[in-house]
Amino acid sequence: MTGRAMAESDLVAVAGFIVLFAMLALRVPVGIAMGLVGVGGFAAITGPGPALNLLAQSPIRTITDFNLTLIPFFILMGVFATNSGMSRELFRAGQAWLGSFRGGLALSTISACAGFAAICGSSVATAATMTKIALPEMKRFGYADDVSSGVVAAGGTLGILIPPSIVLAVYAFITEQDVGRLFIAGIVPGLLAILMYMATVRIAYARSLPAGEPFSLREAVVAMRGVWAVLLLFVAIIGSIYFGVATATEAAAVGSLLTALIGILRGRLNTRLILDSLIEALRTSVAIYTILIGAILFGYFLAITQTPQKITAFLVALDFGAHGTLVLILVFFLIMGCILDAMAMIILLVPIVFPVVTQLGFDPIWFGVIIVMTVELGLITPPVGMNVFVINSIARHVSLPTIFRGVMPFVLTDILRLILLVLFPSIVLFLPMTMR
Amino acid sequence: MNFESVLERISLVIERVAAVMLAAITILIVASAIGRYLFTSPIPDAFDLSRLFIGAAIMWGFASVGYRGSHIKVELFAEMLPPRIRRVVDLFAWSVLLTFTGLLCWKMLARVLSAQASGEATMDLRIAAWPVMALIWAGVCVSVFTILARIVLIATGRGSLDSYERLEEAIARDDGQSHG
Repeated sequence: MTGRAMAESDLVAVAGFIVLFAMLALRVPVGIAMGLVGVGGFAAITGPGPALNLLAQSPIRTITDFNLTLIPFFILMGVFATNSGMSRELFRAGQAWLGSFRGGLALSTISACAGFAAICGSSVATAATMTKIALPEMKRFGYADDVSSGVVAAGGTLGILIPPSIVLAVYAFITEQDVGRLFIAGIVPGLLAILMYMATVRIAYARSLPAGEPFSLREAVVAMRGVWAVLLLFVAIIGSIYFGVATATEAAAVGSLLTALIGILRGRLNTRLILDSLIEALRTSVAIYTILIGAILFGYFLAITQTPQKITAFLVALDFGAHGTLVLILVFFLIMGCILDAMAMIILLVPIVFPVVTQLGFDPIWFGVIIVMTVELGLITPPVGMNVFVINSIARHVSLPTIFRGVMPFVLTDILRLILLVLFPSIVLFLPMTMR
Repeated sequence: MNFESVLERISLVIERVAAVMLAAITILIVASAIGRYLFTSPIPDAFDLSRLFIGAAIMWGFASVGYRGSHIKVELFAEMLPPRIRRVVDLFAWSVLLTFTGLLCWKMLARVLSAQASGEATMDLRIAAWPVMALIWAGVCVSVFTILARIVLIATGRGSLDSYERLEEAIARDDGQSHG
């Protein structure tokens, strides 16, 4: 590229990003803003003809890409699980087994969030469901509002990490990584998150936690009857992916159908609820596909302006070292998390920083888990934590500052967990490495 | 019946058709997987048909989401604005969406026509792909009208881009159903 052409492409890149952020601030849908900047930026360099041709080829290719069909299926599974009341049973089982400990209800909430995350790939859905079920119960047993809402907000973030995770599936698509390996890579960090959250409850709120209820083995066994379905689903889905019995898409389709069947057999899902669930899953899927359509178009703009290469060269030249640059990227994601939705952030920013990360020698599967954990942290950190807002919108009596105060110990735990996984990548990678 | 309820009904019908497509594809993929693993014979064209029909379901869903205003967007700044200015911002945002969708409708038609001309077909049964592509394109065309409908509602002060169904309403509905 000549010096003049390079300067021109730099100008187009800068102008493109300014227009993009201006459109985002003016409420233009994220995918549409990315798509238009993609086409417009491409046109500025190649002319309008080739740019408009992108619209003929790219969007239809994106929406008919078989690799993406697992997204609506996993969303559908989560919606069926929510609408058939599986979360309540998980909470009851957690209560029966962990309720005898001091702070048992808070521990039960975390375990129920984890169980629900194993069938639902959305953090917001997990937080919303658990707010309805766990918050009133904790209030009844004398938990302070900051403790109970903090537990639900933090527990909700497990939805995005414990497989199946919709955000990890999208990350796999945009970075061309194996979605099965990413899901398996999320398991150990997910388990670590559960244990660390439980430890946080016991340590940070040791003084204010109410005492537990007496343990009854009979009740604990009876409560398990309600959760066998969730366990079965998780083992079937993740087991089939891990052993290579089924593709992730097949596992997702089977998972959504089984969830619906369990709901029907238990008398929880009728025709109306099934149709409503399908519509709800479709609406969420459309919103994600729209961003993906835009992201692919935006990718052409990034490629022609060589933005990722330039950012890579710039960041490498800063000479902060691999981990210094990684911290810079993670902090940037945290800041962007204040204005962008988790999914939008992954789709918009990962293609820009991914070449930097791979050039610095980090493993792409490991980075997927790390970046998802960072985005997850953004869901509970002030000033804009999506999970905190969701809880506040359902439980109006609990103010935003109260929830933020309650969630702070969990934020510290999340940071500690991030540091652990950055220092010891094998915690993330050893399980996917055992896959065939 | 007023303008809004007519639009609401149309939007619901569109969503139901797309939802049924989603259900059918789920069953198709499961049946094909069972066929492959148990009888070593997957359903012919399950791969092509499912990806094409998912595309159709998504594009028809796009029409509905365009009407409902529930695309993923940055709400932080809009929520700080007074209602009158927010309405102008909403009009701008959906006009941009309309422009994009209009361009997509125009250019995607060319793709459908080229698929028809080249005889593009599915892998196993060699079924012509263009009719399903035309169905996808029809979804884009319908989207132009549904987005326009939302713009009219915003312009006449009868609607906005605020989340169509507030979370509390959804929860209340869920509660109503689970208790009922």
